[in-house]
Amino acid sequence: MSSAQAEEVEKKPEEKEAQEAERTVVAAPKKTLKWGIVHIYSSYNNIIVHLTDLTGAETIARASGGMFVDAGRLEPTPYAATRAASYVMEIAKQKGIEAVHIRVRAPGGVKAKTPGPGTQAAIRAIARSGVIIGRIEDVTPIPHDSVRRKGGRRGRRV
Amino acid sequence: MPAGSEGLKMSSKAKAEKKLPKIVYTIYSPEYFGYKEIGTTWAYTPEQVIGRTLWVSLYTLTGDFSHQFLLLRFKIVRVRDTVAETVFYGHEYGREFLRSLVRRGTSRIDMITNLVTKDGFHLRVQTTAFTYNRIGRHSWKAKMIRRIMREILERSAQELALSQLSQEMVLGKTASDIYQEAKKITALRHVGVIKSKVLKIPEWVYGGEKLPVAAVETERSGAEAEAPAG
Repeated sequence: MSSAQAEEVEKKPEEKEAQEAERTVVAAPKKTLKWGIVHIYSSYNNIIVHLTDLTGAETIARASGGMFVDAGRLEPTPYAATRAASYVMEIAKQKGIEAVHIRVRAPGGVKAKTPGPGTQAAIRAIARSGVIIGRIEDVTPIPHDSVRRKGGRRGRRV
Repeated sequence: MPAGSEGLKMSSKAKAEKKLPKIVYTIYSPEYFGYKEIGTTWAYTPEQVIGRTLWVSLYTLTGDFSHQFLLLRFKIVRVRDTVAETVFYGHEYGREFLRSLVRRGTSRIDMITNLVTKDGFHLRVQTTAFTYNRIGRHSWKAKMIRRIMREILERSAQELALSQLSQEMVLGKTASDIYQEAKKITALRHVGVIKSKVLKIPEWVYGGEKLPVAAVETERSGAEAEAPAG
């Protein structure tokens, strides 16, 4: 038996109890996190990052790619997406949001079903902001059938 | 100063005075899902909170990571102080998980049906069976499996209240009953209630009182009397 173990045995039971009590006092109470949902709508023309509460009924912050770049063609870029997501997460921190679920969507329906180029950048910016990320879901509306695509019988004439 | 700007100023001032901080409401799952805290929402008045819905993974309620793919939807039906109480409002398999079940060379048999539970909730339920081998969409096997699904679900709905039926659907009891019957027809890979949604919530739920047994019986007999006419 080592000397440390011998000392442990020699300790009186009262002392041990006192130590236990101290430990329970020191332990932080279980804190519930304040959750939010980040809705990312990402098309090939723009990106919208929208932070709401868990029910989706209360908006906390919202930003789009167009708020951070001037040219229309730059709106869906990873740079604009990063700026938009960072802006939203900055407000989220001020409002006390500690964890978020991410719901990504593309236009869907008869339009593009894959999210635009800014999605990954936006998710990375959210992760880098320090909040806890829960679920990442793709919520693109996928039709079981389809409506007629716009453009008419002869297609879009440019 | 343009005309009317003073009026605008006044109205904005009045608005600013009116604006009170929003109250934070803690949302709890129904008793039959453990009455656990599942989130928070905020609003000016409790009336604004009623009717809001939220999706929660079954994992957050059970703590079992294998339930991560199953999402439950709860609807806020009443508010007591800052506690928002909910009812089960539907469920769904996660999109990726459902996608992983679909395979080439096998069949998927879907059945969508409307149910009325013992306590008066109207539901639409989608049940799906995945086979090992391909069977025709209109073959007798597929038809038999759909019939079994319908019979078992209708029987459960007649016998059970939403609290029990939702648990059975979500935790797999209904699916297991269907599997036991349907496996006699063809070899099955997976059977599950993949989606459900509540179409109508009875009025008594919003009051927060439990419906007395006599009232349930009269409501059911009324529904049965109406059914043949409809």
